[in-house]
Amino acid sequence: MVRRPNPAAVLRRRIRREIRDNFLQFLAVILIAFLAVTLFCGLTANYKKLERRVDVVYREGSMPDVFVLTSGLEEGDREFAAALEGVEAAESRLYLTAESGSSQVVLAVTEGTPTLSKPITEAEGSIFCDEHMLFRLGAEVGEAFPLSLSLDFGSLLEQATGTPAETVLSLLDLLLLDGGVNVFRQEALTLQVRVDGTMLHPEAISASSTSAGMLTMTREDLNGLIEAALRENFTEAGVTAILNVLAETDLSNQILLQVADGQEDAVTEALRDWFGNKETSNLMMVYDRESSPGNAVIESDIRQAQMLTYVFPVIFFLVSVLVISTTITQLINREHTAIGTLKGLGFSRGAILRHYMGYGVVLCLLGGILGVIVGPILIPAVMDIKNNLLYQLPNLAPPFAFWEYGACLLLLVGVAALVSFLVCRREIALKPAESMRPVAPRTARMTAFERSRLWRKCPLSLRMAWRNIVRQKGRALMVILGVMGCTALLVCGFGIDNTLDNSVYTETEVLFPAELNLTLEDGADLPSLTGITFESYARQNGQLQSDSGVRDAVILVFSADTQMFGGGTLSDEGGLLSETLAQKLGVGVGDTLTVICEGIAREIEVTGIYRSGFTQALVLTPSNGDLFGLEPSYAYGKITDPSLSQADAAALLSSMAGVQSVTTTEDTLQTAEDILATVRIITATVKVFAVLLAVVVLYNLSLLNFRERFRDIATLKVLGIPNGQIAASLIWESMALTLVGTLIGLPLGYPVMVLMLTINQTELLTFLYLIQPLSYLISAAITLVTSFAVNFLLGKRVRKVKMIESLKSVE
Amino acid sequence: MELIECKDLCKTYGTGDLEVRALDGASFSVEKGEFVVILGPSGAGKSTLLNLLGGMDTATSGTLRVGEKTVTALSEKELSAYRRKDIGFVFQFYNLMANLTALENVELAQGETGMTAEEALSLVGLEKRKNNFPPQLSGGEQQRVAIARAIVKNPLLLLCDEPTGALDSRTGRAILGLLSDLCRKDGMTVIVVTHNAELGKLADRLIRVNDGKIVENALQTAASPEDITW
Ligand SMILES: Nc1ncnc2c1ncn2[C@@H]1O[C@H](COP(=O)(O)OP(=O)(O)OP(=O)(O)O)[C@@H](O)[C@H]1O
Ligand SMILES: [Mg+2]
Repeated sequence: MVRRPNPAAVLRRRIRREIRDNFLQFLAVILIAFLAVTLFCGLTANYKKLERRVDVVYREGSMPDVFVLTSGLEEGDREFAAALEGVEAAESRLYLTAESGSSQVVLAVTEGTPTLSKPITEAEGSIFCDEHMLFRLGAEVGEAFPLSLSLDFGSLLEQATGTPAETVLSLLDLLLLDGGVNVFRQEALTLQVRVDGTMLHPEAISASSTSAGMLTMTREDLNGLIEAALRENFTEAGVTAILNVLAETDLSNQILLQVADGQEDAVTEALRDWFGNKETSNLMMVYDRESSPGNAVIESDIRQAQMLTYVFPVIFFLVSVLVISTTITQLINREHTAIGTLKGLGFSRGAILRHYMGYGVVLCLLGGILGVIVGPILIPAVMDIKNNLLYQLPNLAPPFAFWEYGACLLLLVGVAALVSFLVCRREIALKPAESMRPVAPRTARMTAFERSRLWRKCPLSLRMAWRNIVRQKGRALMVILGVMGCTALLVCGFGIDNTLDNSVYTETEVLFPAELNLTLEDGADLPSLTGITFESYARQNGQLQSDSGVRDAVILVFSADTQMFGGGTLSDEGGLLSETLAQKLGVGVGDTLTVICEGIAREIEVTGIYRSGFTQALVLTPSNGDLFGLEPSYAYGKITDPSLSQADAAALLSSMAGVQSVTTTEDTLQTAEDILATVRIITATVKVFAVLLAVVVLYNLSLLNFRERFRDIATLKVLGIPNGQIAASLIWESMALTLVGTLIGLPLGYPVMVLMLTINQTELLTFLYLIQPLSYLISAAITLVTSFAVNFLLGKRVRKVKMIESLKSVE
Repeated sequence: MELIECKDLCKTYGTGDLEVRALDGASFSVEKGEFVVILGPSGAGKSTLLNLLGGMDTATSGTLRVGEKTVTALSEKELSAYRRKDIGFVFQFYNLMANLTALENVELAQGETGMTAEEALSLVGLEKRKNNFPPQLSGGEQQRVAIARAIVKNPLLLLCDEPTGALDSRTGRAILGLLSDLCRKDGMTVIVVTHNAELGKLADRLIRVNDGKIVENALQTAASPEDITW
């Protein structure tokens, strides 16, 4: 029996052959789909992974839901908190800031093995610190490092014994060993700590250079360490006496609570009431997990990563969908006569539809699936290089975001199918006889330009380019839109860098041009050092109130003729307000604010506005600053001797009497970079992808144009027109469209950037938007050069067009 | 001297088992001003021969001289210039550029010498339709535009591959009349390929091709287009 191939099988074979013949075109579609899906899924995986890593630390480390910070727990506090409705577990601990060398260390001391906010570690023992801290101290597990505790032992002893501190201290002076020192009279008690191992800790996720290290131990460990420190200075009797006193003292100052879901607010309220009803409240703060300082940082980073996922790749995705639709439309239009023929042969509409929808769906699915696989593997891996420098989190595989990936794939494939369907339906609706004839160009009427005198002067290649653009408005529009999207993305990418740089530059060079920022000890005089000019200033946190609300703000006081503040001329009449605050408070120059600082409220006029990304402050002169009793306890230092480096100056100054601490501009820049690192790396990734997209989009659209004009090219070759001239016409056309797309895309870069950065703005961080002319130039150059290169390469293919074969068929 | 001199011209496509000898040692010559008809069954190698004459393809072996030029020795660039200056080509399916007007299609081929595009169009009787685009013209009119495009540069050779293949007999006759006028009145050398034996009667010289070989090359007295039926 003769094997009868079924028509569908023949069509499938046709698809395979079609794919082989149009390999590059199809490859371009696959690539575009791949890039779009990779970027979207990759960035989604990145933030989901980060989120999950945080979740794991929170779960395994039993991150508390509510934190109660007090100046020292009192009778009944603990019991009250533990008995509140919704509270599932409660634990108290001592939490204080200590120092090791120049590094800050947060010390958390629990009564026994912690049950909330506990270290995640595989090591045995009970004294742990985070890896980053150990690294910064240059210490190792088991090796001792010094830790200075600034506990106010005097008042502790006074409380415990009911005797005035001075009396107790004098008593202790009598119990000293030969050469021993009464360490309680010193500012801080230095312990020699050996850690049993490193840990991950829910409160020590951040590893940036600005965050403190975290050290956990039990009360027993702490007593042991104190005892060791005492034995070097006190006699046996002294040590025993002090330890007895300490053992009876409750040092705890925090309560950690695990609360049933949804009860956090009620519990927080109840606690505020409890402490508020006391005669003198020992409460410092109550906050929930969400607003705990460590969490706020990582949450905002995750949110940044997530938002960027949705803004950048979405634009990217739209451009891709656009390009894919064009390609499919053109591919099917090219099949105009083939569709007519298939219908003439009696293929059912359904079979033809399925056949042609197959192309788009299969191509997008191929690229998309590849993207779903590669994106979540590649992009989080790249991002983790930075993430792992910024955070201490467990290593996990990126989660499979089923819904997001599914929606992304479905959207892409759906659009491909829909476009194929619409185009095909139009073709199928024609009668077979109609569709077997070639389509007449839609507008055969001439434009005014074509009838003009100038037209006759244009070279033919230019005229053909013009006609092609005008006659094929749809395709021309696609090229323009595609190029526009790529240019806008590039401008946006470069613009974000410019904006970040500008915000940092304005802060460190314009507003506060001094290189050194000093914190002075109480009542200390300005230091003097040759090569540096100093000027003192005051700084205090306060609140500003206007008709439209209250905002936290910093109050800065500079002398009226200051050299250290570049935000505008200060006046004794009022103060300079940051633009962000002015907007949030709804005030302008000439308006009056109520300023609350140090418990004093005063009316102050806004005499000017300055712009800053980081310092949201009201800047006063002493005539107003004195109203709040603000004393200058800080100083700025400008280095006038060019041979003096910032680090050297800082080192010199910090060893001087009266200087508590010094930060340099270099430190500040480092901090700024730490904060902005996430944004930067994502921006870089998207820039790379935008260029890739530009290449693929331009290549694809140019190739499309090229294939469509195959016959024309062959005809021109037969007429003996040199290959170069033919290519020139194609390049003219593409470049003209690219230029238009670029010109429209350039100004769009700004709003796209603002949109993206606005989402990332926080109370602390506002952006001083700026796109340098150079960024526009580079973006335009990248697009134009890419376009030219792509078209130039395609132009080379004119040589390969076979005249005879191309001219044999109709159409 | 003959205008065309062709010796042992061979063209093979493919290699090995798939090798097709489209042209197998064709030798003939053509005088200037002749109206030549190449006849033969489908697949005989007529188009292959015409493409070689027009410099659209390169021969596998043999020599071909047209005028002063040895076409078989020309480089790709020189072939391009040869097509531009010396050859006018008319195809079965017209092959006009859909997005250029009739006039512009002709201008595309216009050289420094020869007639202007408008002259060429009026020669084929289409001066009134010069600003129309090809899809707005009938098949016969399109073919006339194609002929205008082919003759505008005053080519040495006018090559026509099945110029009437897509036209009805009346229009076809008009086109052939136009071609033979070009030959008789303007002294152009015209080579027409067809598989329609009836058209052979129009020729000064009739060349029959079969299976890649020249089987007949004879001079005859040409009939006028009005006298033939098909
Ligand atoms: N590109 C090609 N590859 C392989 N074989 C080819 C190719 N072009 C032509 N042939 C073969 O060469 C032979 C001659 O072809 P040609 O086109 O010259 O025929 P023809 O005489 O013009 O026929 P028709 O009257 O049908 O147009 C045919 O057998 C054809 O199959
Ligand atoms: Mg033929």
